[in-house]
Amino acid sequence: MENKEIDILLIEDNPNDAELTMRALRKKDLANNLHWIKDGEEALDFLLSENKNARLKYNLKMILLDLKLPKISGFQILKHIKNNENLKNIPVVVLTSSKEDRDLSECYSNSVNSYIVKPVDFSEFMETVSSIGIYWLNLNQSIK
Amino acid sequence: MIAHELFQIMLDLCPIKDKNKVLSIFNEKVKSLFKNISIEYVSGQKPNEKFKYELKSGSDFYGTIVFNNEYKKLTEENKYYLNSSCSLLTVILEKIANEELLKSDKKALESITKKQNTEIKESEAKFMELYENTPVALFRSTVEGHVLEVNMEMVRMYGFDSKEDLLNRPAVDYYTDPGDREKIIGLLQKTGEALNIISKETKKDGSLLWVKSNYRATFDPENPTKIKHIDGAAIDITASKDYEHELNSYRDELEERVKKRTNEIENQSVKLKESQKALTFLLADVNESRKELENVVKELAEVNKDLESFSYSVSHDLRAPLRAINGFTQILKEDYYNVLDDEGKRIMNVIISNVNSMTQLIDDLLAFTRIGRKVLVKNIINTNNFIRTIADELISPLQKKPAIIIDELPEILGDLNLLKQVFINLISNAIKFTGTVPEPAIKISGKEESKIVQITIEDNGIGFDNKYGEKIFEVFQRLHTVNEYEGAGVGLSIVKKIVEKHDGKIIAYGTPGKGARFTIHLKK
Repeated sequence: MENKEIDILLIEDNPNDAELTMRALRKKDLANNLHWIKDGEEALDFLLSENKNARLKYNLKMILLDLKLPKISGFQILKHIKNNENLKNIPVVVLTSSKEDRDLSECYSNSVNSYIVKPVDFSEFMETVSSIGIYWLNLNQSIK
Repeated sequence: MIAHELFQIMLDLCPIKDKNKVLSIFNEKVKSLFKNISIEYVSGQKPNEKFKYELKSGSDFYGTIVFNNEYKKLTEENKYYLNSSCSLLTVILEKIANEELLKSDKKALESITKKQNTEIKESEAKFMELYENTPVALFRSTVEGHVLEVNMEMVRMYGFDSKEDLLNRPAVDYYTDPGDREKIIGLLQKTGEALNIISKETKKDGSLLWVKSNYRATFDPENPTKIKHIDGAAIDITASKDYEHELNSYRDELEERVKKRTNEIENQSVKLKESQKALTFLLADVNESRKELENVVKELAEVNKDLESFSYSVSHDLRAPLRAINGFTQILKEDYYNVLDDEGKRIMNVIISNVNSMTQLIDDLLAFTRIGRKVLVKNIINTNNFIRTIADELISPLQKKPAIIIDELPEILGDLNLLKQVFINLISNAIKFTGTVPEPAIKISGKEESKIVQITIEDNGIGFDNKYGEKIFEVFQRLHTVNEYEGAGVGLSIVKKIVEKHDGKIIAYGTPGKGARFTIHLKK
C-alpha cells in the first residue's frame, strides 16, 4: 500500500454492498485504485494517523462512505474529514440505505458532497454508483 | 283595732308603757326582738334618771335594758307615733315621764283625755280613709287561707264588687300557681317575712295580673311557731310585666332569629366546607389525571421513539439484504444465464420479482409511517393548476389515455407536498383501475360550502363493492390480486392519513364494473 495511489476509499461494513459497489465501479474501470475499509475506527486510523500527507500520499480523489458503521458512525467520520484542513477538500459521497430526511440534512450540514440512497434494484444501483464515480473522479481531476 | 295593727307592720321599734310603767303594747319589731316580752317598771326613777326594765321572759334578751339619757328622745318619738295613732297612750307615757305632773294635773288630764278621744275618732276616720284609698292592696289572711280583712284597693285590684264578695274567695285562689302561696307561707314560717314577691294571679273574672307583694306574719303568743295571721300589701305590676313580657318575647324572637341565622350560617359553612372538600378531591383527581396523562405522554413519546428507531432500522437493515439478494441474483443472471435451464431461469425471475415487491412494501410502509411525524405547512393552493400538473406528470402525452376532465375547482388550504401525494395516489389509482375499460375517463370536480371544500375524483373503471368502502383504506388491504393490479395496498391508507392530518375526511363510493368515486372534504 505504501506509496500506492488510491483514487477511491470505500468505507463500508457490509461485504455484499461492498462487492456490489466495487463491481459497479469495476464495470466502468474505476476500481483499479480502490481501497476498502470495513469499520469506522479503522477508517479514522487510516485517515488521521497519517493525515498530514494522506491526501498527497495516496492522492485520494474520493471517499465513498456508508453511514451505519460499527464502532464509529459515518457521521463522525464525515465530521472528522470536513474539520481537518488536510482532508476537507476530498469529495465525500455518502452511500446509504437511509431515506430519512434527518440523515440527509445532517450529512449536508456537515458539508457532504453527495448523498446517495442505495437503490435496491441492481441495474439502478450499478448505474448510480458508476455515475457518481465518474462524476467525482472527473471533477477532481479537472480541479487539479 | 285591726287597722292599727296592720299599720304597725310599717313602723319601727316602738315600746309603749302603760300606767304602771309596764311596757304593754309593742309593735312587731319590738316583739320580734324580745320574743315573749313582759317588762316591769322596777322602782321610782325620775324622768331624768335611769329607767330600768326587766325582760321577764324570752331566751335571747332576758335581762335588763337601761334607757339612759335617751329618755327624752324616746318620748319625742313616742309622741310622734302616738299622735297619729295612740294618743291615749302618749298621755300615759307623758305621765310616766313626768309622774308628778300627772298627779297634780289630773283634771287637766281628764279633759285632755276627752279631747283626745274625739281626736282619736277623727284620727281613726282619717286613718281609715287613708287605709281604703291608698293605692296599695292591703289584706290579712289566715295560714289556712281565709281572707280576714282587705282594703278597697284590694277589691278594686282584683275586680270584685265589694269586700263581702271578695272575702268568700280563698287566698289560694289568687295564685295561678298554688305553689306560690306555699312558698310564701314557707318563707313566713322561717323568717316572718316575705318581701318583693312577684306572682302571677287571677282576678275575679279569671283574667291575669302580675302582683308584687310584701308579707309579714304575726305569730300566736301562746304558740310562737304558729302563725296567727298574715298581713300583706300588694301592688299591680301587670303593665310593667306586660312590657317586660313584650320585651322578653321580642328578645326571644331576636334570639330565635339569631339562632336561625346562626344555623343558616353554620349550614352554609358546612356546605362550604363540603364543597371545599369536594374541590380538594376534584383537584386531587385532576392532578391524578394529569399525572396519568403525563405518563401516557411519556409512554407515547417512548413508543414514538421505538417506532422511529424501528422504522430507521427497517429503512437501513431490511433493505441491505434485499439489495444483496437482488444484486447477486442479477449477477447470477448476467454471468450464468446460459448455464441455467428454463426452469432455473424462471425461478431466478420469481426471486427478482419478489424482491422488488418487498422493496415496494418496505418503501410504502416507511412513507406511511413518516406522514405521522410530518409537521403540516399549510398554504392556499390553486387547485386547478396543482391537479393539472399532477395529471400531466402521470399520463404520458403520447398515450393521452384516459381522458382527464378537470372542472373549475375551488382553492384549498393545506400542505402542498402531502396533498400532492394524495392526488398522485388517487389519480394513479383511477388510471390503474380504468386500464381495462374501452374508453377510460376520469373526472375531477369540486365545490365549496360553508368553509368546506370538496374535491371529487371519479372514474369509469372496474369500481368496487360498497361494502368494502371502509376496508380499502386499511393498510395492506387489497381488493384485487397482485397479478391483476400491482401495488402494496398502502396508497389509499396514505391518502386517508394525510387527509385526516388536515382535519378532513375522505369518502369512497364504488359500483362494481361501473366505477369509483372518492370525495375529499377539507376545511378552509
